[in-house]
Amino acid sequence: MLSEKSVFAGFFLLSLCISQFSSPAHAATKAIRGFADFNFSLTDADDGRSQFRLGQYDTYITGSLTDKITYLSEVVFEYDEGWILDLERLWVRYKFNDALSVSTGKFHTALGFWNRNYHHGALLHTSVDRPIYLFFEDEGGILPIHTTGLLISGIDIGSSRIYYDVMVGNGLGSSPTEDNDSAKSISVYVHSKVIEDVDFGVSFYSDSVSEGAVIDAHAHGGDEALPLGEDVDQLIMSANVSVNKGNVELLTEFAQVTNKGQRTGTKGTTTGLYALGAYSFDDLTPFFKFDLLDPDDADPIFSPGKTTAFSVGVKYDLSYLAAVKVQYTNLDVEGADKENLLRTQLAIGF
Amino acid sequence: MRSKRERNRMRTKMFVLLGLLFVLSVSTYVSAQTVVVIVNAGNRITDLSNADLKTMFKAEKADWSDGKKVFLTGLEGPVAEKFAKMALGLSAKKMNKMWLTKVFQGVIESPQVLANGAAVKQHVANMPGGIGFIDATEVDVSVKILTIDGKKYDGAGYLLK
Repeated sequence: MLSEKSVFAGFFLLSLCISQFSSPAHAATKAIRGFADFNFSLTDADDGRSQFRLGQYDTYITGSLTDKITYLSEVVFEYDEGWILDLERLWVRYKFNDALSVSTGKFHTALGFWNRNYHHGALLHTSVDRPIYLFFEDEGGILPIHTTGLLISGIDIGSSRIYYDVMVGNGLGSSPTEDNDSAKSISVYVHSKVIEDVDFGVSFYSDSVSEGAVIDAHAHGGDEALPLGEDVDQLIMSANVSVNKGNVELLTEFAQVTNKGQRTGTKGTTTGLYALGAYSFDDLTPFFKFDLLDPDDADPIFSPGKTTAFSVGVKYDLSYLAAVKVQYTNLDVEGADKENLLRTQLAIGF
Repeated sequence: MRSKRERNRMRTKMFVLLGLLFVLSVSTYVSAQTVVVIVNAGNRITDLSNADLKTMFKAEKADWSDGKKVFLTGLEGPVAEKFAKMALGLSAKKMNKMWLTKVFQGVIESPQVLANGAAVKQHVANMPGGIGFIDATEVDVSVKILTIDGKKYDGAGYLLK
């Protein structure tokens, strides 16, 4: 586990860079952008009904303070028994060059392709919804998809065209303003574009989650958020391959989350997988998506039912800032009746 | 004297013929366009390889070799379609969406997608690190034209012709 002194040293180094090596001659830049999506769905579930639904309203501000310092802040307006404002990301970055940047703040955790590329921007991805195992933490997702901490990263390095993110953060159970324990999470994501139009990568994440950390109700399949009964060691490994060549889009990703109770030794391994394929005929893009979430009953943190989903659909690009999607999904959750869903979505960016 | 019906038929034929001529002339003009890649006049770069051009306009690189930040500038319309297809093998919409993804990741500064070549030229001229593409006929001394893989835009084998 990384010592607190090392983390402090890294943070101090970043502060020093920002204060000493920035060029004041650079004109500051700023851009305000965002995403929104509007949905209508039909279902054949017994307790289901057709409904209109506002998706996520995401706004983000990005820009530079000097030639070397950039920042990004992102907030999402969500409805949860009243409108709430959720700070999704807030970071400041000092960039030495393409090969080395140091940032601090709240980030998308360095875990795989989807989490780092699309996140809240429904316009950016082809399907209507996120892969099931990549649901947000408060929707039953199995990955810690946000991290508050320190990030060292680089892009397009050498002839192997390596991209990397190394992240140290507070980990599961903490809040953006406070850590619930002294253990820090470590995540590493390395990917390469050595083959043109192909991106393949691997991720690794390690954390020690403390007893008492509150786990979202969706994650353990219950009705109420529950505190963890013991300290749990968490290890996540994932791999991805994406092909984006001309009219073809192929994307598949896999993650394995192993949780082990330190006192009882109870160990469970939960697996998540998705595959998406699409082919564009000009503005029209038919696609399919397969989802699998396979939790281990012995897992001390997650215990939602095994879930598989097969989706087919079509996306029509009105412009690069607007798309209409229609998607049919056959959803099979263990312990529940199979459900057929038909969803339409208008996704925009601005 | 021609009947009213014959006159209408003749008029319809003329409109169809004019329409075809218009489509033909536009498509000939578009395919005859040569696209040039322009950078700020202060940029020391004079040439980009095909591979670097792709990397740059897929927003997979954020810095010039001298450490200056890359500022991508886009364009709407047929010149953008031709550039995206010939340089990247994509549609202009896909290229612009790719840029949007990289802005959202915080990899690049938010590019401007402008309505015409004059606006692109002005933007690149005013932005150190700026890079864009326009029709070759719109170029003037306010910006620098890059050679692609060592080839000039008016020479043989130029990629964006």
